[in-house]
Amino acid sequence: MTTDLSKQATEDKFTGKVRRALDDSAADLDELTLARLRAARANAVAAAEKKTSGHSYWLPAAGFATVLVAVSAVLLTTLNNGEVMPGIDGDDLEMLSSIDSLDLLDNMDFYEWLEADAESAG
Amino acid sequence: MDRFLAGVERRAFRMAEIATSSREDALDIVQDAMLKLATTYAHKGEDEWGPLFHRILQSKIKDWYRRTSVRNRWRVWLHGRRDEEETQADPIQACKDEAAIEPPRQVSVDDATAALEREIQRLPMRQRQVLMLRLWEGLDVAATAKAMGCSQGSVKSHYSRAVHSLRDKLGDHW
Repeated sequence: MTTDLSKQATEDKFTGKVRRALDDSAADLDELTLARLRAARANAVAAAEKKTSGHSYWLPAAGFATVLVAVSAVLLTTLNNGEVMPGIDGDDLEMLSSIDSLDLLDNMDFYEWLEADAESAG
Repeated sequence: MDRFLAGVERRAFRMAEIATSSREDALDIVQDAMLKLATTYAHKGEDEWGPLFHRILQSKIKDWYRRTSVRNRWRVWLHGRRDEEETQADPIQACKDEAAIEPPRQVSVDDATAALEREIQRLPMRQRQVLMLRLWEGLDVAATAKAMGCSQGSVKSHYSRAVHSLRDKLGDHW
């Protein structure tokens, strides 16, 4: 027990040193690098704002068209198979109409994990 | 978004720089990761940005390794052909050695930090990733697993191996 605690303390001391050394190296960046990071950040934020404002004109129409196609496809499939169509809730509609829906679907497991994590954290 | 990116940009840059040994490539990787997060996930909650950003960053670093690997294969092939044909100077030969630490950076860091960076660079990629995310960025096991796209068990074993490997190598300096 004492040995385990001692080993853990030694490891914590070591990892603390590593963290401090890395922190120091990040704090010690030259001005040119910092300026380029600031520029990259400004560019990213501006691109996000531009994308948001650019989408505002046609996103509702594109979203509606996507939903229409998706609902039609589901209806046709279920009618042909004689199955009962499940209800589509607001979350599904929002996802289907979102311009990032493909990206979201790619990362669905990640979002499921985030949700589960948030629930477990209370 | 600006505040979040400002808070992570230095560490992100150093993670990419240690992984690639190239300041320019590291700046490109961080810029791409920032752009991807801002244009694709800005509408998500702020508490999600951290894990998402690191997932993107690690993905960009992995892409860099793939591209570098392909480039190096071509370089070896072209080098071999040049030897066979006894041709004159090949411009490919002037390509920068991606594994080399840039001289200005090398002299600006102190010995202990330089030794640490060298040993981190020598770690296998997964061990290096987990070390950066768990130890430096402070992500928990679950968040690290998601950022790396692997199981929590893998995170624990990679982390343990990384720390022990570093301790073995850096014993004299630390």
